[in-house]
Amino acid sequence: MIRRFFSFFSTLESRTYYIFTLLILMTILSTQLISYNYTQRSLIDVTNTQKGYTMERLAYQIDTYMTTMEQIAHTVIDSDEIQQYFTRSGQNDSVDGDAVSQYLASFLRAREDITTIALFGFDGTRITSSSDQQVSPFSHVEQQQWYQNAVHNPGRTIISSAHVQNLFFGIYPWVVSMSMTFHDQITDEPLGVLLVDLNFNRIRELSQPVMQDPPEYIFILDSHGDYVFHPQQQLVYSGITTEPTESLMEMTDRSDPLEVSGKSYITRQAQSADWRIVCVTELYGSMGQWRYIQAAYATIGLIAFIVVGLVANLLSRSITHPIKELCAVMKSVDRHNFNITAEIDSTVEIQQLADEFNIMVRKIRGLIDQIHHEQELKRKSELKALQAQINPHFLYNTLDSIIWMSEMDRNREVVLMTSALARLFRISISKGREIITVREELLHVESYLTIQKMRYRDHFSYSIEVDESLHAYPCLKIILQPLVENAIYHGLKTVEYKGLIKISGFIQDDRIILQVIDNGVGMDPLLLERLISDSSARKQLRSSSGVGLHNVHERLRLYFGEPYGLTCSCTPGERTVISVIMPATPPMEEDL
Amino acid sequence: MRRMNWLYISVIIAALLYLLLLNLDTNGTPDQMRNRHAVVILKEHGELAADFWRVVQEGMQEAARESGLQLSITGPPREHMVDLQIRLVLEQIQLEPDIIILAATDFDRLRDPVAWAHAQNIPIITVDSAVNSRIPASFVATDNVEAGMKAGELMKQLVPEQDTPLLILSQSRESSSAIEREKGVRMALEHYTSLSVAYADGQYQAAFDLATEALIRGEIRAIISLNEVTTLGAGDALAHLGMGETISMVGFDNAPRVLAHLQSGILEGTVVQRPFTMGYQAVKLAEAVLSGQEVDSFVNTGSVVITRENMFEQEYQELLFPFDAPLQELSP
Repeated sequence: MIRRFFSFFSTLESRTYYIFTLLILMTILSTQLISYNYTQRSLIDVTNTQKGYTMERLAYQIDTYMTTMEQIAHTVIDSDEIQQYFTRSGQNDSVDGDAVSQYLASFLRAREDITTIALFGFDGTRITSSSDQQVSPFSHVEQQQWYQNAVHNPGRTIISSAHVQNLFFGIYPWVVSMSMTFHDQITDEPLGVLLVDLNFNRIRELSQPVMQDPPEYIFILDSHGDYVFHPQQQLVYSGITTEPTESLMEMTDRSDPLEVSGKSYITRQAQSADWRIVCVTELYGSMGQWRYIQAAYATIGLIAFIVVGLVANLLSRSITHPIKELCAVMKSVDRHNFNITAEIDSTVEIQQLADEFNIMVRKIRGLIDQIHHEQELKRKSELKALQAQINPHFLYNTLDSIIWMSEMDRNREVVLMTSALARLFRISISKGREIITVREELLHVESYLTIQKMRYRDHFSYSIEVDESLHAYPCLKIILQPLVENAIYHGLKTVEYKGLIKISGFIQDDRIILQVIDNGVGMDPLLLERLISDSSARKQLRSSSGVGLHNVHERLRLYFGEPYGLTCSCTPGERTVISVIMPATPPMEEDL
Repeated sequence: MRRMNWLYISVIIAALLYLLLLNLDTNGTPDQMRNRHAVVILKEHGELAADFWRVVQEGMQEAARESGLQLSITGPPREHMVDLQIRLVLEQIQLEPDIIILAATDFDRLRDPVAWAHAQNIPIITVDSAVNSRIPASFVATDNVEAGMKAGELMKQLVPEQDTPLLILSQSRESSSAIEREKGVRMALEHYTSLSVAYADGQYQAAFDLATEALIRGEIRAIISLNEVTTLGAGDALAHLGMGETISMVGFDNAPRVLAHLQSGILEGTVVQRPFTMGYQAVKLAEAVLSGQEVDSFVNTGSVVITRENMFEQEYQELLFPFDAPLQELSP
């Protein structure tokens, strides 16, 4: 398994591919991560900035609201009605309580967000904006926080947290109380506490989250870190929701967002009420948005990677494909095919390699051709040498015979033998051609037989029975004569009876078969076989002129190729058949 | 062959890359909830619904807002309309919601609709009042036995004499919350010898009449009423008869008039549930069920004893006084 795995990397193609792919993968991945993080960061920054603006507007609205309320409060305490009602109420009843109530109620009519305006004199005088309702005996005004804070901080405007006002029996509105002491304008003597209740729903409405996605909510802390308002106040009190109020109290408007347990907090200060407005965003709640961006990035990455993968594939293939082609060409040279050139269309480097290879192959081919040529020459000279071998011995024997016959005045026989000899030589030479026709070959052997028959004084007879149709076929010259010579010297020379040499010929399976048959003593078939094929046997028998058979066999094979040559069959004491097997090429006039 | 292999590898790596990038930040679940739809069937819904149910609804909406869960809330206008609620449940099952949150008006009769929902593979969470069935995945409610005990314990302090004739004014014989509260009260007052029970069937007038009758006959010295309607009925009866000073009463829930009675001393205490928390938790649990988490079979949202002394404390203000409660005046 591991070996297979590594074999993957063993080719240039796979290495190129994997390295490219790996590099590009890392590049894409890191680019994607960096840009994704950057996008995320900048989106968060933009969101936070936007949120900052929203919250500043909210803080401003609350400030404006409080300032307006404060102005109203001051208008109330500085008014003649109130001053007169509280400074003179003890001595004279000229100021009607109902009228003052009416006066206070007129502010309520003008501002719907004011629930109640009430004044509590230190002397026990009480007046409220609702003339028809008495302050509830259960409400214990003096113990209320807004009252005590105002008393302890005379002259200052106190703004409470959101709370339930229980001033009037059975009516429990949620309010933010603004309270302050009020003073005699002339003596500056403190007269009592003014209460302005603001409908808290107004502030709640302001604090509604602006955005739904990502989910966010707004809560408000007072200067002590207690909740003025929280959309999940009950969950906060029962401990299901917790907010990091202590850390939040340390933050300023300029602080970076506080990130705690998957939520991001930013705060803004509402100066007038000393409230801290906190906007909370679920960091991972904004999945919809991120999903979209992630999907976009991932898709870009996917496409880029597939494209790059394909390109890497093509690139690695474009490098290795020409090399493979070159390899294939080289392999065919391996199989002794030198007649090729590598036609490769590729980069300059590979092109050069291919060109050099071509030059090399061409050179090798030249060398091989040269060797072929030289071998051919060598073969031809060998052939000629072999051809020449037969002549001298036979020639002077024959000439001896002619001389002898001339001395005996056997002129007719001299003429016959001389003419036969002449014909023999004419055909032997035959203008230097290797190939003659079967007819000429037969003529040649007949001439030879004629001479030999005369020399051996009719010690044997001969017959030539070759079909006329064979006569036009081409034939290697001087192949029958050595066979006949062999038949005479090894078969017939020593027999007592009159020998017979028969030459026959026929066509069999596109082969011309010429046979020399004699009825002499014959030879040991094994020896004959060896004579034909084994040159060492030939050397053994050199003295006894067994040269011829091997010569013929070699020549036939040199000329026509492997399957052709001589075969023999021999029945010792009866007859010997030596067959010449040649291809039956159609008759033609060929000059070699 | 090998080239195919490479393409294959390319595509696999690309797919891995894709998944990796896609899963950079997936530690939030809200997205999963965005396409989920939950149906809430309350005991009371609409203009006539008690404040309690309005606040439950607020809690639910708050939780749904956080997660993006789609919420549709319905219910009969009044608690005693059991048949209507059964019909509503069956109707909602037809709409194939992802989950149903049910506040059962009847412990036994809602059993079949719940079984039917279960057969349709719709999980159910019960809130405030359970159903006599093991099917619901979870039950989010005040531990009513505990709440009843709290009421009983307070009464024990108010009237230590164990022979005090005491009336338990219950809203229902069938509703599980009423049964359990009564049980809790009886547990706290186990040594008390003269306890009587009356059932008002969830109707204000019945509660008023039952209390008035018992008070006129002079049979009782103390009243424990077990829900908002009975507390209003009995409280109004006491106020009407001017017997607020002499008769000790502990009630349940925090309707503005109940609080007025508390402030004026007609009522000595009231046991208040946490409806906002209840609604919020119910939806959170529904989300947990939808995302395949294990949930507890019972979630106690708790209860608080409110007396005249602590009723205006910051911690209890929002619990007692809903933000946008209409400014309601005490009835004559």
